Amino acid sequence: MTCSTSAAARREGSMIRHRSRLWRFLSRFARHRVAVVSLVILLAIMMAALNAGGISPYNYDSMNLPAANLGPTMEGRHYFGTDKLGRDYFTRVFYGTRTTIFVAMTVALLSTLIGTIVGAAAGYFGGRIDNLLMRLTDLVIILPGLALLMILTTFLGEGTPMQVAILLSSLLWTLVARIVRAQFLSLRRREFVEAAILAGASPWRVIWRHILPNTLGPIIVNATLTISTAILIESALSFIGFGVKPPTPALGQLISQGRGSMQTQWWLVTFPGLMIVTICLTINFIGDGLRDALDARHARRS
Amino acid sequence: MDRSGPPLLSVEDLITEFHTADGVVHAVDGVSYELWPGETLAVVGESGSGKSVTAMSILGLVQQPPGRIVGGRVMFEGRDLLRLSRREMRAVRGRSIAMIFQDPMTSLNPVLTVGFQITEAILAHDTDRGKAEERAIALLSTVGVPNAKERFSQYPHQYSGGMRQRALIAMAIANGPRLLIADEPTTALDVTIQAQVFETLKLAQQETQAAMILITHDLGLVAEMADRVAVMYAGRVVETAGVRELFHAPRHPYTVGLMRSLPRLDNRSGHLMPIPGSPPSLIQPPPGCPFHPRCASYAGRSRCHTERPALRQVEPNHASACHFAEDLARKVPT
Amino acid sequence: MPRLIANRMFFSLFVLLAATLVIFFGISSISDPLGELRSEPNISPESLQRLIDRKHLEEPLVVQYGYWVKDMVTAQFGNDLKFDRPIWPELSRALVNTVQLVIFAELFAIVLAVIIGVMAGRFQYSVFDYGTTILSFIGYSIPIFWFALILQILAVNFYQTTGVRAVYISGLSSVDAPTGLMFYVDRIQHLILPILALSVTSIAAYSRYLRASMIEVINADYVRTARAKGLSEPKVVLRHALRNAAVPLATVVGVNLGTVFSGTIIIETIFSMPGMGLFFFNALSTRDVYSIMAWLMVTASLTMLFNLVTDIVYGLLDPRTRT
Repeated sequence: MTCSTSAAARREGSMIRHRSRLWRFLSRFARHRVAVVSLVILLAIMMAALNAGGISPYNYDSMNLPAANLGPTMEGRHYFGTDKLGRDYFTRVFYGTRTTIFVAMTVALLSTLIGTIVGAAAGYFGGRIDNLLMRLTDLVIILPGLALLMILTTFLGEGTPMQVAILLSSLLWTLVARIVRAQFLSLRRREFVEAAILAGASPWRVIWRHILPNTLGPIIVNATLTISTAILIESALSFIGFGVKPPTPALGQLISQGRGSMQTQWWLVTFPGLMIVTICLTINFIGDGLRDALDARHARRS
Repeated sequence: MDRSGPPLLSVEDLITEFHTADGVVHAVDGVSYELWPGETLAVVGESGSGKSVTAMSILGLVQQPPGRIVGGRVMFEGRDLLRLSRREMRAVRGRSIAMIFQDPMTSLNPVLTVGFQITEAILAHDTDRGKAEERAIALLSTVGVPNAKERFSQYPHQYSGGMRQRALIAMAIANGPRLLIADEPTTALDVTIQAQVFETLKLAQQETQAAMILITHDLGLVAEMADRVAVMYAGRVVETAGVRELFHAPRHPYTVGLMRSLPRLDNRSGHLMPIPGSPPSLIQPPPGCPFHPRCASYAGRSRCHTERPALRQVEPNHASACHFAEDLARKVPT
Repeated sequence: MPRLIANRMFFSLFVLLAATLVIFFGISSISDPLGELRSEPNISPESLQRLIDRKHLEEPLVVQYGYWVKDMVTAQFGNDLKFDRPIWPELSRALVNTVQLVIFAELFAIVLAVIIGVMAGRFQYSVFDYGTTILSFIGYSIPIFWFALILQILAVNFYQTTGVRAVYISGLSSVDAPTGLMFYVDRIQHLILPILALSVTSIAAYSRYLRASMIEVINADYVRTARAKGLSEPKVVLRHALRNAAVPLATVVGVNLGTVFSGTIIIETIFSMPGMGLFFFNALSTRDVYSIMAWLMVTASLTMLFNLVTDIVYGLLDPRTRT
């Protein structure tokens, strides 16, 4: 046996180990039928939204007055009906969905990033840093988030999706930070971490190689659920006019615009709302499936 | 102890299963024993031998699902407890039969006062509200809780472990039960406290003249308190005998192994002698006699691994579930 | 116990103080009342100067902070910026209405959640359990404003098909409000839909929490002891299991309050209710920083007060925390 053979064997061994861990995770997730179905639905919606131009012959704002105020129908492919200016609602809903998904994903990413860094610092270093950070998050939690966002938008905002995303992240990171901090606090005291510290590992190395991999699970689950939270808050803001402003489309906006005639043209309010509910529902189921797949202890009896 | 007349409790061929994701666990696999009024029967065995589940089955406390009592009878005062309606069974629990559990730290409700919980036990079977509180305080006093009147209004977290167990004993004897079941009452306590609680237990039995099933793996406790012993293994009773006979002349290889594994002062070799192997799976127990894979007398005899031994009398008042129990009479040193 | 309350109150005052700092300097950092006043076309130079003096807008921020706190404590937040009207009368009226709404909604949510959670936890994996689980998931995924609109659509449809006005879709009371008992009935009819919409998320969250708590508790040793005493099943479940399972709920309710207050902003808008939400809207649309800050302070104080109440309730429920 030469060195190269054993090195190759080691490499393959670690690859197999890696694959089996991922494989185990995937197969556990696959067992959660509801989550898998939800994932499929969500991906379908996302692809349709990203390709909003391609799924329908109409444009977001192509008016067609003769075809105004139609209910959902098959003719002319107005699956969701039209609004008072004859614009195809199916198209509008999907364009709005695109914006909403963009904002939500950005928020999830940003808030998770910031929250993880802050939470890790608080949980790992403890003491004064922890205290300071926790008092900060406490204050944010006392005040109603929506109100703060409305204030920020009034004085700072122009209503672009990116800006809304940044503002939302600036509040939601606190929730992530709490969870990450709790995880770090408990893991910090585990023996394998103490062993690493005693062996002389720098804090960075300990965090990056030892603690973080073990917290990845809850962080990912939480990030997924944050998407849902972000969608709900963003659409609420757009609804009351403090979120994404026209002409950029958003689901909350659509609902607000359709509100005036909702008794007769029910589809104007119903479809955007159903879209929100569907997306959030699928995300929640996926998050549940992820949670089960990552932690065998929480797995439900089949 | 009054052995004339019928037994107070007669467990006959009790079978209790648990349906789990890994298969059916045969926790109690055909258990039979009897108990006379005033008598103390010790049920001995390792963890997983089924001694606790048997007791829970007697009182109908097994969670169904995943558990199920699938066979046998439990005759108590002329009635089969397994056939009683839920209401009838509730009338039995805490009144004719009372149970004391293992861990006093978690067996009391933390948000209710100790006094309330004892009064509750009294009121569940009797409606004299006024006297109930007095009785509860008297009970606390009887079991040796100091300042019973003050302690009555305190919460469990204000009691020490030993006191909590004594309060639980008070709760159990509150309605003068005919049968007390104590499931490892001292296991979770410090050794010094064990002695106190064990004295309280004896006192409780004296006060009520009740028969007692003492479930334990502590042979010292057995020697002190029991009149008779039933040894359990893998969900079955493998030997029953009077306490003296069991210690001096055990008639089942498992019991022999247990006795031999006790540390003794006159053991010059300096080695402890555990029973080799580990307890069997209750989902797939070994065929024939469940002990044969670990049995010193096994020697490959086919009867041991094909035929399940029945619990049969080998001497007056001494039964054993071993095909070759007679061989042991000759082998065990005194 | 009283010492515990006193402690918490002292601590709360401290947090409120910190809140005043955060609110004042936070708002001041993003707004420019002086600049806005100056660029306002409809104000005469004398009024302008008077407003500047009244609010000390030309002095350093720290000084302004001092005057603001003084105003808050002695003059009930003083007057608003543009119209020089006292803030407190309108704010206090709005406060009463909103607090009414929040208390009813939370009580409703708690009661419903207890029922659902206890049943689902006790009968785990039953049809009821699965059904309520799915409903909870939907509850987590519904935007409150949309649910409120749907409720309105349904209510109007109901009225149109049956001619019976069971519930109202706007306002706090009818214009020709009856007196006596009927007044309260009328008020309830107006409040039903808002309460329903506001409590959806709370019900979903609390019932899931209670269910998980019940499942944990129902397998506890002391529940086994209770059964061994011969207690009836309802007593075991309610007096022993629920009593313990519900304790942490107090904390959950406290934490959820910020979300509930956010919800009232939307609900009051949709149901045209004259409460804190409407006040806040108006304050924002006129960019009146003093009204905004007053609103924030009142909301923060309310939240702290409610949290104090839930802490006391927690202490009452769990004797272990009292010593």
